[in-house]
Amino acid sequence: MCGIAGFIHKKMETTISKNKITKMIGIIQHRGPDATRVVIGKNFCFATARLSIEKIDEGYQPIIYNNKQFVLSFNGEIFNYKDIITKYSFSRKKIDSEVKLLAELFNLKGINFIKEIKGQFAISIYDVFKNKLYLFRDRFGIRPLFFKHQKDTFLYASEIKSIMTFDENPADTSLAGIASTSLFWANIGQQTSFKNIFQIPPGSYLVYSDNKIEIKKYWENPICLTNKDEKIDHVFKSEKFYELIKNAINRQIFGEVGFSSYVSGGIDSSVLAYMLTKIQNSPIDTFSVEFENKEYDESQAQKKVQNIIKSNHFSLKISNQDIADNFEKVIYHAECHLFRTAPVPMYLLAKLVRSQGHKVVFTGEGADEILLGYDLFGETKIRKFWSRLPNSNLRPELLKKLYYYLPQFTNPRYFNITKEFYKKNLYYHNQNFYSHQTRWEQYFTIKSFFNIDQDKYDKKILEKNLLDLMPKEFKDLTIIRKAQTIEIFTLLSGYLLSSQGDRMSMAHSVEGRYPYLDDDFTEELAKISSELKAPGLKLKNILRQTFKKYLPKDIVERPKFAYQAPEAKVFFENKKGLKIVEEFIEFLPGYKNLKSDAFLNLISKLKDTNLNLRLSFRENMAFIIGLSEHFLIKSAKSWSKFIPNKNKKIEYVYYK
Amino acid sequence: MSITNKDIKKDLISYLKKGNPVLNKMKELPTEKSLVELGYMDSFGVIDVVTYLEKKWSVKIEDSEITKEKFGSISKMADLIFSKIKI
Repeated sequence: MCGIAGFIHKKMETTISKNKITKMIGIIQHRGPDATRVVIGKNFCFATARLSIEKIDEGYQPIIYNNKQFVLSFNGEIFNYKDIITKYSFSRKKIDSEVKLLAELFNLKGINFIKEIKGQFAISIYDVFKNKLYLFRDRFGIRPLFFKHQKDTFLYASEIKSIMTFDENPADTSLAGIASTSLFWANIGQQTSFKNIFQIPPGSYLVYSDNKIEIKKYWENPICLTNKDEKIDHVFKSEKFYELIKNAINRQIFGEVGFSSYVSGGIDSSVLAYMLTKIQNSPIDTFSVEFENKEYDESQAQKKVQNIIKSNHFSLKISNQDIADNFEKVIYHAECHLFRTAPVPMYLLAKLVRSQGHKVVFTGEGADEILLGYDLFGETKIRKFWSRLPNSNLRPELLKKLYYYLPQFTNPRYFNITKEFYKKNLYYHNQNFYSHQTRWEQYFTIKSFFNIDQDKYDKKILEKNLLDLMPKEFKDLTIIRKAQTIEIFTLLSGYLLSSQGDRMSMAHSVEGRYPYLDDDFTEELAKISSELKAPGLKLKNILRQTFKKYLPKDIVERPKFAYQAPEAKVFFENKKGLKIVEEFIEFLPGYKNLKSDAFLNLISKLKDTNLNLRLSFRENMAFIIGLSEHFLIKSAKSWSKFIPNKNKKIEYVYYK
Repeated sequence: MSITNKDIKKDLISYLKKGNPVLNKMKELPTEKSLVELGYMDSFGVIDVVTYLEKKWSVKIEDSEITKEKFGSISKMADLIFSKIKI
């Protein structure tokens, strides 16, 4: 796992370009603290900061390959490394690292080499002879890759902050980022939270030559394409499913010694921890977050899992104060507007993993999307069922089963009105975004805190932008497959794998492994019908059915408890939190993206609010997005002024 | 000076406006329509406003009163509170 950065320019003195690339790689050395190498050529600079997972791996980077034709660097893991070597009978002596394998395969197959590679990665290949740069990003967007094109310079990096060290002035935050986060909860497509800085979308590659950029998709998630019944398996065999999971995990074990896994208390990570213990045949290390605030806490369930697998368990108790104290650092690493504070505990947990000597941790992201685990899928089914008999009192009662952990559902006091809220948009099944309408309706209020009144930030236009990113098959999918596809195109890569995933763990040089997003696993799961995955309201049923033999009943049958963390109110509970609010207020008048009156009103309300209660969803979200804007602007200023640490060793190689 | 229905309404409106710039910008609020149906309030927002009213006016709102019929609009909320204070 690494951080990569580089740029191509027309004319720059070597002293200047060396200085610039040193800054670019220096600011992301947390991604790869073990070795840093820079290759400087006449019109290019490339750099890698490496985190070595396997000790035997001497794969330094960037490499110069094939009679100096290619300069390659790479961040990530190639899980079918050995298969490729065998398939093409490559010499194991010559190919002693993943980066050399990529070079050899690219040399052989050109751009199409990407279709053969399975893993999590960001790859940079520069063809010196043709003056062409190729950038590839993995299928799900697990590993990040950002770029910027200005005049005749093209820059890319694993993190935005690296790109921002290049110029004296920080990039401005983008209204598009605010709008997208307010509606979809994440940036979508190429967009980021900064103007003129973009990302290569998941499953895509970029070619830069003749000062022009071309971006193409090389992979489409089969779940977002398959709808035809004949392709779908209607018989469920738990033995087969067990093998699929086992193989997915085995593929992602990569020479590490002593496994570690997150354990949330839910079934996804419990299955991973259980399987890893079985594979290792000795206790593994497990890590979880506990909350002081019982509303969010799942420690009872975590203990049950730990009792079964007898792991060395490490748990981190998070207080409301921890959330407030670390929010700024989390924005520094997440580099985008956040709509909730949930990345903070993940940031702190990764630190604990690292302190126990681990560089790799297994985690359950993707299971909810691939195996149909989200409440939202159940909610969609209930709304559809309810819509056939809108005056039924019983049908909406089903919502209580899903949201058993939320007060407005469990407390009979509020359910009558809560019901009305879900009753809106009950019809229109043919709508592309039926599943998400209740959630997205909130946009109308949230956007009123920001200066996004222009037509281009209209809900309909943003929805159209999302639709344009999706495969054309989308409109023919069933409502549930559509809902899955929307999740994959919005929250999965744009938030879960980045703001809660890569950016939080890599802040502490820890690499996440995501077996539920294994390429082959996903492909097989696309062939299983939604009704098998989640019959009625039994979400993730095939996972539960398969593992009921191995895990405690209350873990297997435990309904989804959405992972959340205490929200905006943590900033209003004591003097320390309020100091952060005061700082925000001080800068508010200068922030052109925010409506300062609206924020001042909201803050005055939050100051008076009874903090024993949860705040309204929209007020929470508006506040958190607004506060992220403040810390993003603050972080960006620090990035553009970054001075590299001279004590960190860097190897400079000059391409001649 | 005794409290009128109008006072309750005014106070409630100013409370709702604080957390919602859309309502804040309106010259005249839709006081007769359901805020949930109009999309101005979410389910957590209901808890928020019930708690606020109970505390502000030292009254107890019964479970059976938190329905669209009795609690749906700003006017209905104010009427309900007013009827409780009067007693």
